[in-house]
Amino acid sequence: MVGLVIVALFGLATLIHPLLFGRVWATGIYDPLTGFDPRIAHPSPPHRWHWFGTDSLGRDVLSMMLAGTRPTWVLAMSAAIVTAIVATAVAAVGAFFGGLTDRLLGRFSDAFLLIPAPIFMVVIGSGEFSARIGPVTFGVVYGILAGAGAGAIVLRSHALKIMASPFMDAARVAGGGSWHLVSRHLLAHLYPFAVLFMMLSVVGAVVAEGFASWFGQTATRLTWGTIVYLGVTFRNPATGAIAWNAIAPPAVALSLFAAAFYLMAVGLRRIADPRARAD
Amino acid sequence: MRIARFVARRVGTGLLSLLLFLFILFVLIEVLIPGDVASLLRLGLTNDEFQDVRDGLGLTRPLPVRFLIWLGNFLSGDYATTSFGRRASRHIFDALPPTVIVFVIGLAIAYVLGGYLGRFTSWRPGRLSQGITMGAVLAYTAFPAFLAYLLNFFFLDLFHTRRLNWVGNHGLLWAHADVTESVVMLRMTLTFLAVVGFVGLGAVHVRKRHRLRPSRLLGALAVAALSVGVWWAMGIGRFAADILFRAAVPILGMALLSMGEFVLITQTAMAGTTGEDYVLTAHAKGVKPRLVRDDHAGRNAVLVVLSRLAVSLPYLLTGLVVIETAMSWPGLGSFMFDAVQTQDLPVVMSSLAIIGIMTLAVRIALDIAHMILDPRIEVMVEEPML
Repeated sequence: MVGLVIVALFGLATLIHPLLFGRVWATGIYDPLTGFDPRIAHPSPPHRWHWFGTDSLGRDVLSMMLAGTRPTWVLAMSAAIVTAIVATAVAAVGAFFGGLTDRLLGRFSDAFLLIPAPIFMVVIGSGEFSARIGPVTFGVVYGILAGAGAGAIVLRSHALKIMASPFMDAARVAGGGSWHLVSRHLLAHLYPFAVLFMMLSVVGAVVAEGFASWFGQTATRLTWGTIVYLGVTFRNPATGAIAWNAIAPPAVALSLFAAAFYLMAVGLRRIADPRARAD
Repeated sequence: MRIARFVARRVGTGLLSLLLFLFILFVLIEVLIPGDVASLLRLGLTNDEFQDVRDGLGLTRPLPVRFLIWLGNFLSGDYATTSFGRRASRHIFDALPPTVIVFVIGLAIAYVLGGYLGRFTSWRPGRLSQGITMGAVLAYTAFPAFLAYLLNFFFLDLFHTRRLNWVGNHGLLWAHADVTESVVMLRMTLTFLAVVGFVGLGAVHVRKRHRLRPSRLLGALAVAALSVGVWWAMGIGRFAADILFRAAVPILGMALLSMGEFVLITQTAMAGTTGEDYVLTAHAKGVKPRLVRDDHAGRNAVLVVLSRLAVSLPYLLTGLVVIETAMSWPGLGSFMFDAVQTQDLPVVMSSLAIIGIMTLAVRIALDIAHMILDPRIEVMVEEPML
């Protein structure tokens, strides 16, 4: 429940930024990329005009943070969808056909599991490619890595359990074809677990993106990780100190966003897994 | 004999995965990243000259051939040359001990503390437990870089400005040393791992022979005391103290980052055990509540934690890379980050491959531990995948 509330708040934040911007907030001062407030010295602590203060370049932190919400949503959704599709496909094919197919797919998942996805994202984000990695590309690549690795392994164990259950035999005896068995029985029972893993994939993708952009690899756009990176790179020109008010809000927002999805996953597991529902 | 067969089998499938992993890594990096090493030298070349350079470097050969050549070099210990003309293998092997020190000690602290908190929260639901759980969720999803900066800022500030420096002048110590830092770290790591193995085997022996369960705290103390003793005997005591002192903050960061996960998994694994029959039986026999919690109900959670750890290793390693980079700890993470910054793709690939091999080694070790803890696992070996 807490998770749902937080996710709803972040959804609200995405919608509210274009509304505030230009109507309540003066464009020149509050622009998340080029804004500058000439009235005060920067970086400044939280103030009536700037609720989270400003960073060393004089930009409003609240506005930057709200602007970073949208790419995070896009990334989270694309990663979740791709993870679910890849993981369900690999798990269902492996569990249904069994034998050599299953062995081969299992080895592949094992190999994918050895790739540290976030680090890998930094590597492919370096150099000429970085300008072309948008939130969608990032989400898709992360989704493939996570779905073919951990996702497939987790879902496969559930798929095997489903394949061994009596109703599969019943359906087979009743004359159901392969497609009928897979789509009506296997996939139908896999969906809850796929959705559960989607939530966990969002957690991983969001943290991985924060990680990659913190390395400065996606600095062309404004995301939460980028704000932290910029806050650490451009320090207070006078003292050299890190502007804490500029890096704390996006870091906390990132944790909260991921935590909200984790909590939703925990809530969903109670529904999806009858054994856990018992307590 | 049974264990030997299991190990042989696990290593065999592991090698197959490793080969697949290296191939996937190679293909992904070749396909996803535009340009190749030759494009670094491109400036001022005409197209024909550029193609000549690529031919000369063997970059125009088909992908599988290039993979085999790369694999051959990698297996013979040639991990590419950095842009500064030094062999990458030297750097990588210098960077391994610091990484291992932080990773192993940090993970051990997280395992013990996280396991305790997980058992506590699932055993006694209430306001305090809810708070701890929420904290664990936040730690699990925390932004590693931010955490690293926060810790670094807080502790380095504390140590340096408030004169809590116990070891004395760090620069002076190393200036008159007859050993380098990397040599000391290598010796420290090797002796430490040897001591851990020795104490671990000793514990198993005591358990089998005398039917005693040695306490975990005693084991940890034995490891610490033995390591320190060996280091002093080897004459690297003061240097080791200095290194451990500086490693304290990265270790703390690593422990904090991985602890949340341990708490949550232990909690999930133990959920619902409070009402189980065997727990009631233990209570009725008059076993102390703490022992019922740790030895009866919590015993099964250990296996779940171990198997989950195998899956989340890449995630933990990533956290380690961030911590190393943010705290300038000279480990594999910092080295790889530098290579990424200077576009040293061959070096980056070797580092990624080394990380993969380390992950695989730890996973095999975990599987063997799993097997020793739960003899039923042999049934599962018949399945193609663990």
